[in-house]
Amino acid sequence: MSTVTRSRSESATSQRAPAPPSRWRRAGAVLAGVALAAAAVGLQAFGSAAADHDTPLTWTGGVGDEVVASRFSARVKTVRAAKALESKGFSGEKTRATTKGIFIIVEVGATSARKPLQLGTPVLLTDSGHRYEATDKIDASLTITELYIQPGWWGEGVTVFDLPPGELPGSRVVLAPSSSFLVEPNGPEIEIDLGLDEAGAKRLVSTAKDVYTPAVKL
Amino acid sequence: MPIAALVVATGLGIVAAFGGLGDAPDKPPKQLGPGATLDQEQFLTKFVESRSTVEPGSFGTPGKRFVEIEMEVTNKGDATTRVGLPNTTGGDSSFFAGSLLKMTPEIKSEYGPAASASAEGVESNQLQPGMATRVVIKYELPDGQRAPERVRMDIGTFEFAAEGIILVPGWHLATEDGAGSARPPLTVAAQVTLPVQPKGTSG
Repeated sequence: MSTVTRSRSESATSQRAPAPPSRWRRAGAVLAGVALAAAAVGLQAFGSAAADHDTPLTWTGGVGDEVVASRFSARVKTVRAAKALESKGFSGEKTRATTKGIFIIVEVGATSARKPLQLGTPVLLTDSGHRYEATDKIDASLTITELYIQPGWWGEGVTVFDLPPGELPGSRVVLAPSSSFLVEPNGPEIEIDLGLDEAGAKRLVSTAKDVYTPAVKL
Repeated sequence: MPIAALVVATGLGIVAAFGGLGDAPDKPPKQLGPGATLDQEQFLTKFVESRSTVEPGSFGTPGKRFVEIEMEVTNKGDATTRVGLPNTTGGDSSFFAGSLLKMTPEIKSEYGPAASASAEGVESNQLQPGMATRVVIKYELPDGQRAPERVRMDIGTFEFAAEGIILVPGWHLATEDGAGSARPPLTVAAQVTLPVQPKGTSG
């Protein structure tokens, strides 16, 4: 019973309401529409460009810091320099790699948040914007990229770069999980500043060892 | 008179239709010799020498003979790139050796030529930014074939594509202006002629 009376009263009010909107009100609505459309077009300028989709998300830190990214954590323990690399082949013969620049040996530790993972080829990013991939003059099996980074403990290893000494000041090591066949937009990466200014870089180069022999872990 | 005008107009039309009024072909490629340097945009390349070498055979097998081409390559780009292999397809390449478009006479090795950046015993395949690197391309000679007296190489050059629909952003081999062509021919920036010097054992 009560429902019937309510519907009746509603219909009574709706009969009174439909006065046509005034001309001013219609013009206002059109203006508001135009303003919203203009705002939408204007906002496109702030939208992400195509290039932003495949750039990684970067967590940063310094030497000794434990930098925690979304899926993994990493730290740089030491940074050393050497003029040559020497490693032993399976048959025991020594091979020696030299450079016109300098070898920078970075001792890296990493741990994973949940799943085991491997690091991709580390990169040294310089102030000049150059990207130096870790050198292939040392067998990759002797570096951090060979290791499976497990959750629960820190895996440790080295990565070696080969670059002109002048590029050292301001350089950062960039570490990221190795990319699988899936293209991952905005994947995590960790960028660790080696903390080298002009003087620090000179000191590092002047204390360079003649030969660095990577430790074989097997 | 109207007939003469018609003849002239027709003649011009035919010339235009066959591309006769288009741009004249680009200037012929530079001719370079040993010790010359070529700017390939992504790389600065010095052609050091060419030599023939012998690798002694072991356990009684006949030795192998090679023709080597030595270059000094400086990567002018922003990122580490690779030496790669000489171009055999006439297609695009983003690696240095892809700009070695053609060699005359052609040396047909069983497994194709080998290319590497050598650093005293350790072979590398990387070209690091700003570092002059010794790159050696090695062609194995088939049994019984003698090394040629000289080799001539067609060398291409690179272009940087910042963004593109067809091309991946990055360095690509420069091509001739081939509007409408799906595979425009690669630009020959220089022809380098090197005498092949006989040397002893391969180093």
